[in-house]
Amino acid sequence: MKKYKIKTILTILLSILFLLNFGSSVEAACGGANCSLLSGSQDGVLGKNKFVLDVSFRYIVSDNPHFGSNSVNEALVPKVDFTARALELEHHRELKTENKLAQFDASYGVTDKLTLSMNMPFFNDRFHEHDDEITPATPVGIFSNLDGESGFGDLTLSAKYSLWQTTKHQFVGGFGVKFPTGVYRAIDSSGEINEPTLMPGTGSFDVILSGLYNYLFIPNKFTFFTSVSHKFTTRNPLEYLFGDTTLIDVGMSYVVTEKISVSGQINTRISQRDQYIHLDVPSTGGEFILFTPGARLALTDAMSVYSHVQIPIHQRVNEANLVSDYGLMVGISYGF
Amino acid sequence: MAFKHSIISRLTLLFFFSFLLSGMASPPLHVGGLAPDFELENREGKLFKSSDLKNKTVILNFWATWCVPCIKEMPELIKAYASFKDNDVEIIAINFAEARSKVEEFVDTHQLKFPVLLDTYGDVAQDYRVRSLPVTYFISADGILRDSVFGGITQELIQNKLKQLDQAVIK
Repeated sequence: MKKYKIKTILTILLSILFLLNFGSSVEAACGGANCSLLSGSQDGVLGKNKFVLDVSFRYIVSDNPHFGSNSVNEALVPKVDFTARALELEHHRELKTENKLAQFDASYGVTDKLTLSMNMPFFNDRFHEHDDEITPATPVGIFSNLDGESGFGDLTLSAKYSLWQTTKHQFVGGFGVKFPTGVYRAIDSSGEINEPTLMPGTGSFDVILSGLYNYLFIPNKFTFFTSVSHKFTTRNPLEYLFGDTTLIDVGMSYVVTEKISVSGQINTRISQRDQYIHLDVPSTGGEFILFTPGARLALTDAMSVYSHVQIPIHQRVNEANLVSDYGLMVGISYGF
Repeated sequence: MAFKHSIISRLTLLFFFSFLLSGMASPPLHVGGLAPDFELENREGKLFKSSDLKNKTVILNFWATWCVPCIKEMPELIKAYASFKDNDVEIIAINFAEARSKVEEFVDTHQLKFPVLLDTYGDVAQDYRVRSLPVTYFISADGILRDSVFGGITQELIQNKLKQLDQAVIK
């Protein structure tokens, strides 16, 4: 039933994109009094009255136990017991988390300098396998894969403003708010509130500040970009605080032909440790450096499909947790 | 060593600020000041120097083939070129960062007679602070930037600007 709903939503969204595309003019060039040289690439700002709609799908499997930055045989992680308001250390053995996320993004250029965006993770599915009830008497535990969660995630609204721009340089500042629209207190198979990291939502209002810099080595051809963003998290009603997260991206994109462009970037994510009732939660937070090659294919002047692969270079978790071997992302984008 | 102090973090910040500073280092551009010099290839691959235009009034037009208002104003530039070319007025059309083949095709199709230069890396556009196309600059024979027009231009507007420019130079 759930799968049917997702298929329907995806079909509707893709149909809208295609209908918009076929209904639009073939002329993708600017038709106003003058044409802005803003590229609109890599989270920059769009030109005035420009729209970009985007649907993407991400798939990440984490099944590689780590202790710090070292590969180990098992990852024993705590349970957050919201009923007893306590942390149960080394409660269960994490085996695998399969994360599927489908997201709809819409951006609109209010002026040549200001762009408003909405990020809507309309399907956030986390399939989870672990060994439960691990005790000295039963070290193997009991296998369970019933505690995954899925649903609508947390909506983010943001504004980006071109603070400084010349022909080849662009510096954009951003401010965003993440709203607690996703489920954050779903019940697991034992009737208790599930692990916070498995929920589609965090239950908290978070604030995101970002800065982006684009440099056009060759305009419309070869671009360097770097961005820094920081998410300031707040405590949710369950008194659980997800750690602040800093993202640093550095990359380049190159237009190979009129239809194909490729990109390569290094993504760094630094997550602080989570807290529950002012206690640090073990096995949360860490540092991750990923190499992300990608390609974009223009289907028409207005529509393109793209794909990225995330390959970990360095992964360090606090205490023990699972890390991924790779991540995949595919998407379709339509601008008008 | 803590990760936050790692080489990658430092390199990122270094990149971030070095590029910002490199952009800020460009010389200022203002009406009444010297127009930036440039050297660009024309579509035949020959180097064209702005210094070769000394003692000529220059109409410098930045354009691109994808820019609809640029395409619309081309007939006006062609007419203006035909009427002013014998009066020490030169029209130079600088293409913004497009492939030579694309520019050649456009020039042939639209029968452009005035010099067309290729600003492949956008460096001259950067010096002239170009943020949108088309844009046209008026440079007097003494190399001073006298005026600019953002958006499409007409032969009549060019004529008026040249009159104003003459008066400004006489003053």
